[in-house]
This record gives sequence, structure tokens and C-alpha cells, in this order.
Amino acid sequence: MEIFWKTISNYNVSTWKIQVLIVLIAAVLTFRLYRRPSPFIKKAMMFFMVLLNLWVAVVYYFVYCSERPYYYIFAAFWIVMALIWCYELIRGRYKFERSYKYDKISYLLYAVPFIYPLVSLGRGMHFPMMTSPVMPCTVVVFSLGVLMSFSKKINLFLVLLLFHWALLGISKIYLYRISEDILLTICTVPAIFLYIREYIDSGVVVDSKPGVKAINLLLLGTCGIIGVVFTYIILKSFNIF
Amino acid sequence: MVFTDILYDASFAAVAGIGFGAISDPPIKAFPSIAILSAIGHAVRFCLMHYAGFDIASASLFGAFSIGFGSFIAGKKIHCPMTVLSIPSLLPMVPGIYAYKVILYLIMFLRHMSVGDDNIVYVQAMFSNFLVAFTTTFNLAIGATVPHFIFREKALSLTRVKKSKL
Amino acid sequence: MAKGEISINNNNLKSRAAFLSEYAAMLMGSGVHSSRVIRNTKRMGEAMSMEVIISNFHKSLMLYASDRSSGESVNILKEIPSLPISFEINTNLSRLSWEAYDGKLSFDELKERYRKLVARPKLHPVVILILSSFANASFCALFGGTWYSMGIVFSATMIGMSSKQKLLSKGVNVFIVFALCSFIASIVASTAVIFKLQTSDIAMATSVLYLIPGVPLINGFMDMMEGHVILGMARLIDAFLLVLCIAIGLSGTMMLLRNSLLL
Repeated sequence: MEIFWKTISNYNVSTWKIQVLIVLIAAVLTFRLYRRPSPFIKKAMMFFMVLLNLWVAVVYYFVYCSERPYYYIFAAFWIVMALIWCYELIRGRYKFERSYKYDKISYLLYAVPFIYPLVSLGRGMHFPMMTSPVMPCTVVVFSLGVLMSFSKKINLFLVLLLFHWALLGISKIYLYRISEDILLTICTVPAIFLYIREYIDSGVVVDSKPGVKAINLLLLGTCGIIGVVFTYIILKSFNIF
Repeated sequence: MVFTDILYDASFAAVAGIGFGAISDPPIKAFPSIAILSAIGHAVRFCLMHYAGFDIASASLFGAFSIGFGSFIAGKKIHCPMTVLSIPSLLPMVPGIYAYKVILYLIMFLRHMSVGDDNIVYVQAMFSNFLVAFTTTFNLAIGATVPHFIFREKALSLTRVKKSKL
Repeated sequence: MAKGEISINNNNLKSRAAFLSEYAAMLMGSGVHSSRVIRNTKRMGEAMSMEVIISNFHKSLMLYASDRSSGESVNILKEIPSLPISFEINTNLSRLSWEAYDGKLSFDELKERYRKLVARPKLHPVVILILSSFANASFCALFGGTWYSMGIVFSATMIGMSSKQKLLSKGVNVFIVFALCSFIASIVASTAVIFKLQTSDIAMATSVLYLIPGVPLINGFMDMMEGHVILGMARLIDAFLLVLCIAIGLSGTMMLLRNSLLL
């Protein structure tokens, strides 16, 4: 617990300038993707996502969090995510095609990284020792937002890894009482539902074995169960039960 | 609380049976039977282990027996071969924890090979876990297969749909 | 080659025997134990007034068919395709053999029905993904895992299973896929160990169990008990190698985390 916040404050003190830069680049690129998307911007965004994931893996975990036990596994996790983005960049199948359906949710998701520090401030924390917009959990939410708006031909593996990160966020709530991560878990459940539905719709499977309706129902039920379990764990960790 | 314990066990076994069945692409209408059979089989094993003092291997044998017979009855009703129903229902009884411990102790043994007398403990643990895992799996297969030999011809004609039903 | 394609269309012995061998190979390929394959094929042959003798091996089967009326005979050696296990094909093709036996279908009808049954859609991958994840999570509960370990196992299975589906559809070697997927699933589940939660060992152990090759294991036992010892052994060895691959992947994770697993 103490190590956790100490590493975060070290990270914030030494990298806040670069963090601001990253946020600015992200904002510009995202804005351009909505307003005037061009092949160059799309490539740049993909490249930025690779760098962002690598940033979390190398700078955040390897350099600043090396005091935490098993930091290398988390770093490996983020390197894998970066590799998936890299794979998509090289393969060029995922093209940031906008799907328009879930735009509002994704705008909400973009706001979350900035709500994180506000929540920290609200809990009575002060600058170095608080969450900031460029941290693993916020990067997850940002990636979810991007994928949500441009959800055609997304990589399911990436989405599932993001989902797993949300699950880890729950354990952080459970163990360290970091209430900021509630935001992450709340965002993930509807997101995973929409993604997998999009994934089913995008499939070339013409007649699947249980009909499309049955699959969607199953998916809805699954996400319902996940949602209930998440809420239960969150409530339990704050001793409400 | 005995009843709720059994119900808890049976319901999770049912979910597990459905899921493991789904990997092998069964017909849709076989799913309810698979769920019921795996619930019954696992509940039988649970009861035998917790209330009758059986060990895991022999309890698994009886659990697999009940699945085998149940698959004959259910197969007759929905015209499915017995194995289609019995194999997914058996999977929730696979002794995964013991298999895991075999690998765990093997690695521990390899790490402590030169450290003195410690290593023999790991070998012992590895072997006992291996024996449990192996006999349990073996008994599962035996228990599910025996009903095939009891019913013989009948077991092979479950998929026959009588003319009146067509 | 399209599945179930039969090029020769005339009604002579050769084309009937070719159809039978195709049928038997399809059954063997979709994971049916050998005595059922033999029974079904013999019954099918009976319906077409042929006497059939089959000798199955792991990768190929040999079929001898002789016409009852003319006494002509033909031998066919057929390769068994490596298809995904499908209980639906098992059920439907067994039923088809009874329908043929009960004398309702002509040869052309039979071929048409067969082609349709084989082309039936498989269970949707997303459904398999979700159901098997639930299965593994409840498996974790059966071993005494807590709700949190169940969640971890759920997500680990989802990731492992989706990579398995992806890799198998890309045509990667099945042993490599099993080792890799067991490694992926267990390393994802190992996060439970990192956070030092209770029952994290159960989460680790159950996260790879979705890979257990249950069908070849039990088929192998059944084959051996029914006298097809060599084929049974072949199937068991096949299953055993897959289990070994799972163990390799799992031990890879354990090597990484060994210090926290010390009891």
C-alpha cells in the first residue's frame, strides 16, 4: 500500500511534463480522427497507441514501479498490448472506421481519465501522491473509448485483455481501497457488451447454430452477471454489506 | 445446510458441464440433458465423499456410473448417442487440482534437487497426487463405459427414430 | 476439397463404397469411438445391400465392401481428415444410418441428406467462448475457489480460449497452440497470486482446464475396452501429449512465479 503510493508519487514528480505532452498529443489526434480523418492521422494514432502502451510498460512499470513485487508481469501484460497494436498497425486491417452508434458513450469515456485526478483530489490527496491522466487504468479507459467510437473490425483479444485489467482494478479496490478504479470497472461492463455484439455482427457467419437472437441474449445475460458480481464486490469492499 | 451444499455443488457442475460440452459442438437440444447429468454425477460424488466417507477415486467411479446410466435414459428420449451426453458431463469431475499439484511438486523437486533432504518430500507429494489424479481419471472412464457393455445392442440403437415418431 | 463431395454419381458398387468410406472417415474425424463408426457404417452398407468390413487406424481407414447380389467386391483406403470434434455430426450421422436402414431413403437421397447434415453450422465461437468461460469459473467454484478467483478464471479462460480459436483457425500446430494457450491462461490467472488472494492456487490450476482433451481420453478408453486396443492406445497417446503440452505451458508460468508458490 505505501509502496504503491510512493511509486506513483515518484512517477508523477519526475514525468509530469511528459504526461502533459502525452495528453495533448492524445487530444489532438483524437480530435483529428473525428473531424478530419486521413490515412496519415490513422497511422499516427495507431503508432501513438503503441507508444502509449510501451510507455506504461517501460516507463511506468519498469522504471518507476520496480519496487512493487511482480512488476515484470504487469509490464509483460502491457508489452503484449503494445504488440497487439503493433500487429494491427502492420497488418492494416483495423482502420479506425467510425461506427457512429456509440459516440456518446465514448465521449464519456474520454472524460474519465480527467475525472480520475479529480476523484483523488476529492478524497483529500495532494499533487504528487495522486492518480494522474497517464496511468495504466486511465490508458485502459482511453483505449476503450477509442475502440468504442471506431468499433469496426476490432481485435477481440485486445478487448479481453482490457477487460482483464478492469478485473485487476477490482482487486485494487478490494485490497488498497482505491476508489478511483470504480470508474474503470463501471465503464468496462457495457463496453465489453457492445464490443462482443459488434464482433458477432461483424462476423461472416451467415447462419450460426443458435440464432443471432439467442447469442445476443446469452451475451446480455453474461454481462448482467458480470455487472452484478462487480457491484457486489465493490459494495463488499466498502463494507456496505 | 446439507441440502444447500449439494445444490451449490450440483448447480456449478451443471454450468461446467454445459460449457465443456459446448467445446465439442453438441446438438442444441442435448444441452439440458448434459446439464442435468453433470449435476447428478457431481452431486453423487459430493455426497459419497462428504457424507459416506468415500475417497475421491471410488466416489468418482460411482458418479461416472450414474452419468453413464443417466445418459442411456436421456439418450433414449432425445435420440442421442450415449457418449454425446456422458463425455461433457464427466469433465467437471476431472481432478484438476491434483494434476496441478503434480506439476507444482515436480518443479519444486527440480529446484530443490541439490539442497539436501528436502527433495524427497516433494517426490512423495508428487507421486501421491499423481496416483490420485490418474486413478480418478481412470475410474471416470471405466464408470462411464460400463453401461455401454450392460446395455449392448440397446446402447447402439438410441439414435433410431421409430416410424411412428417421424 | 468440399466436405462430403461425391463426384461419381452412378449407382454402382464403387460409388456406394466411396460414399461409405467418406461417411466413416467423417465420423472418425469428428471424434466418434470406433465401435460406433463400424456399427454405423455396416448398418449403412446393409441398407445398400452390401457387406462391409472396416479396419480403422488413427489416420486412415480401410474399407472392404462386397455386393450381396453380384458378389463383386471393392477395397478402399481412405484418409481420415482431422476435423474439430463435433457431437452434432456424431448424432446426426448415426441417425442417418438408422434412417437408411429402416428403408426410407434411396442412395441419391442419402447422399443429399449427408451433404446437408455435414454442412450444418457449428456452434458460434462467441457462444463457445462465453460458455466455456463460465464452465471454467464454476469449475473453480467446485474446487473451493472464492468469487474473486472465479472472476479471474473467467477472464483468463476468455483470453486463453479466444487465442486458441484464433490460432487454430490460422492453422498453427495443435501442440504449440495448447502449450501457448495454457501458458497464456495461467499467466493471466497468475495475477490472483500476485495480489496474494486466497485460493489463488485454485485459480491457477483451473484456468487451464478448458483445454483438457476429454473426448479423445474417454474415446481411447472405450476403444480399448471394446477390443480396438491399438486405436485406443493411439487416441490415449494423442490425448496424453496434449495434456503434456498443457503441463508445459502451466509450468512455464510457475517458473516465472515460483517464489510466491512456495508453500
